[in-house]
Parts: sequence; structure tokens; C-alpha cells
Amino acid sequence: MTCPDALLLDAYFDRELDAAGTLAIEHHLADCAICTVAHAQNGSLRSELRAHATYYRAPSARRQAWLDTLSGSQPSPLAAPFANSLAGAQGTRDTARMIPGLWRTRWSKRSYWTGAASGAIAASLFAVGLLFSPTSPSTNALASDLVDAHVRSLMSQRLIDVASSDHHTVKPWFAGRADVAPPVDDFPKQDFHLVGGRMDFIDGHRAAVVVYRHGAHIINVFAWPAQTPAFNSMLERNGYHLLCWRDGTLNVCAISDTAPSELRTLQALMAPSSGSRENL
Amino acid sequence: MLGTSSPLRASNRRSVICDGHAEDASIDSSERRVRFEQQALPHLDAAYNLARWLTRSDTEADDVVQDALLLALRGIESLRGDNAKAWLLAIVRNCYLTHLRKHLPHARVTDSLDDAQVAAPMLFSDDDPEAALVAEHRARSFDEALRALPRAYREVVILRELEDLPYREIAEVIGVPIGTVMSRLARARSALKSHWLRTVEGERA
Repeated sequence: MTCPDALLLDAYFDRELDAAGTLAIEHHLADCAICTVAHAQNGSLRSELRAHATYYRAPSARRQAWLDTLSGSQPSPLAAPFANSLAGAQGTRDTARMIPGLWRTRWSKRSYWTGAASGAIAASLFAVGLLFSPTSPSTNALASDLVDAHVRSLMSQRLIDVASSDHHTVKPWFAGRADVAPPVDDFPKQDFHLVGGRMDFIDGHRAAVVVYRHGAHIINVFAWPAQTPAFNSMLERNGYHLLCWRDGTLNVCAISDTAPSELRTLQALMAPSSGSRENL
Repeated sequence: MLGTSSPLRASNRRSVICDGHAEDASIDSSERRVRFEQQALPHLDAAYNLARWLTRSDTEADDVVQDALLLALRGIESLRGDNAKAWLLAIVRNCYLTHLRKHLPHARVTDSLDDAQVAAPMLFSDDDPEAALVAEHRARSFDEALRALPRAYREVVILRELEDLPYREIAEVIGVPIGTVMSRLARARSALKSHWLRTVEGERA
């Protein structure tokens, strides 16, 4: 019996699963004492928190003071003068970013911009520059992308699109779908079992994902074409380890909740030459 | 009415944490006020609760909420659908981050995706929730344990367990994918559970 991922059990507890997912977990809970305990602990923790952690209600005296301030603020006494060039532009942009949905609303209202002084034009040019500047995603964004893709794959039913432990099946499967031919091999002797492959989307590219099982852990190995190496060294994000290396023109990133040393072992198996060089 | 503000009036305000220009000329102020009172004000307690847990201070929470309400009033036309609570809480959280940047100018305060990298020793003891709670061995109550959690974890617990928001809305408030919400929530819960068990055992011993 294989226990579901802890995140899946939490999602069940939080009533975030669909009917099929809910049934599957209920079925599992009927048989598994460990998961039943974990699920019950979630419930106890919630009861304890709701009973004993302070819920800070807005103090009634302050409530009135806030509302008075708001009344005094109409119309908008705090707004920086709009024509105040870049300072104004900065304020506009920052404020717009702080209110969900505002940026989009404002952007479509051209009359709003053209009606304002020249500072507004500076503001919009500034904003366009921000929106479209070709900055490559930072390491953090990429790492988060990879973690999210990994978690999604475990959560949903689409861990694999092609299920096979035969690399002669998996590798050709990618041929018609991916922009790249990822390294695909099976390493049963070292306990890295090829499970299959799927397509995903990473860093603006279609990425080929080769899925391995190592003990009870799933390892997703993403490969996508990129001009520049992803990031060096092992990263840890939210309990997952990420190891990236360069394979020709490909960025290859392995991610799992397994130990870092296991990822290095897999890297050494998949790209024997990269381990002796340095991790790109 | 745009751009006619007076610096004198602005200086009357006790604190300007997240000032700026957000008012839309296309809605008149009474309509804005009505929508604000109907849609945003019902979530005032939630706004204060989040601000209070983020800042861990009465006065700072007060400032953050005041600024968030002002922004919410000005930007009310951006609120669509039925997610007023998540919308207001996202503004509260943004005001809190601005507040941090102003009060800790030397700290590297980054937004959501970089939470684990935040380096502000006064407020973020560690990016590991478990380690933070072990270090805070004197935390006898859930309040103390929650206060000791790093912010990235504290906020998901508050939003999920105290505010009862679904994952999707927590993701909106924090501005991260749902997968990130889930993993943070799992780590926060795991840390709180262990801490709780340790506390219970300590009391027995």
C-alpha cells in the first residue's frame, strides 16, 4: 500500500479535492493507520488554533477613527501631484500594483492617461518598459516554477503522459512533442527506475520531463533548450531539492523530496561527464 | 479632482505607509464609497486580524489597516466578482510589505516568491518553520508559536485556519501559485504539530 503525498492528504483535509480524489483518499484512510493519524492531527491542530489562537478583531474605537480618516480623504488629499514626473509615475505604479486587478483596469482606460499631464506619459512609458523588459526569470522564479510543476505533477493524475520503463519507448515519444531530445535511460541497478515521461512548460519553453522512481520518491527531470545555464549548485525550496546541470544546449533540472546526494547520484548516471566538471 | 492635492492636508495624516495615486476619475466618490462600505467593510475584522498577525504589533497593525482601507476605497472599481475578502487582504498584505520597507530600509524585503530569502533578522528568524519553533522553546501557547513562525508560514496558517480561505484565494492574497501555498501550509502545520506535541510532552514530564 502506497500512502498519498502529504500535500494530497492536506488537500483532502481542506476539502480541496474533487469527488474522485476525495473517494480515493477516503478509501486509503480506511486501511492506513498512519495517514488516519496524520489526518486526525490536522483536525486537532485546527480545533486548537481556532479555540486558542487570538483572532484580532478590529477595535471598535479604531474602526470609527479609520472611517473618519477616509471621509476626510475625499477627494484624495494624499495623492501625489500627478504631473510630478517620475516620482508620480513611481507612486502610480506602486499603488496600482498594490491593488489586485487595478493595473489591468487602468491600463484599458486610455482617456485617463491622456487627460493627465505629461507626467502621465512618463508614467505609462515607464510602465511599458517594466512590463516588456526582457529580463530572464531569476533563479528564484525558475526554482519556484520547477517546484510548482513538480508538486502539480504529484497532485494531479498527470504525472506521466507516456508510461514505460523502456527508454526505447519513452525517448521516441518525446520526438514528436518536445523541442528537445532529453537524455532518457533506466538505472534499475542503482534503484532509479524509469517510470515514464510527460510534457511541461518551464521558463517559457516546452520542457520534456523524464520521471524516475527512487524508493518511494518520485524524481522529475526537466529538460529544455536554453541559451544560458539555469543556476548552479543544489537548491532547496519548500522541502524539495533541485539540482540543475547543462547538457549540450539543454538545461536539465532534477527535483525531488529525496536527499540531495541521491540527486547527485542520478546526475552522475545521466550525465557522467557533467559531474566531473562543475554543475552549471 | 486629480492632482489637486495639498501637501498641507497630506501632512495631517498620522502615517503614510503606502501612499500613491490610485483614484479613478470614472466613478464618482459617493458611488465608490457605497461600494466600499458594502463590499470591503464587512471584512474589516479579517483585515485587522491579518495586519495584526503580520506586524505582531497593535500600533503597526493600525497603520497598515488605515492605509489599506484608503487604498481599497480608491481602488474599489478593481474589485470584481465575489472575492472581496481576498482582494482586501491582498491590499493589507501589500501595505504591510511597504510598511516593512519603510521601517527597515536596510533589510532586504522582497515580495512573495522570495520569502525564503528574506533577510530581516528582527522579523524573520529563519526560513525554516520547524527550526524557528524549536528555537522558541518557551512558546507555551499557540499565540506564541504562531508569532515565532517565519512570516511566509505564519500568513498561510492565519489565512487558512483563522480566515478559512480556500487555497485559490490564499494564492491570490499572497501572489504565489497554489502549489506553493500547499507546500508552505504543509510545512507550517508540520512545525506547529511537532511544537504542540513537544509542549504537551513537556507539561506531562
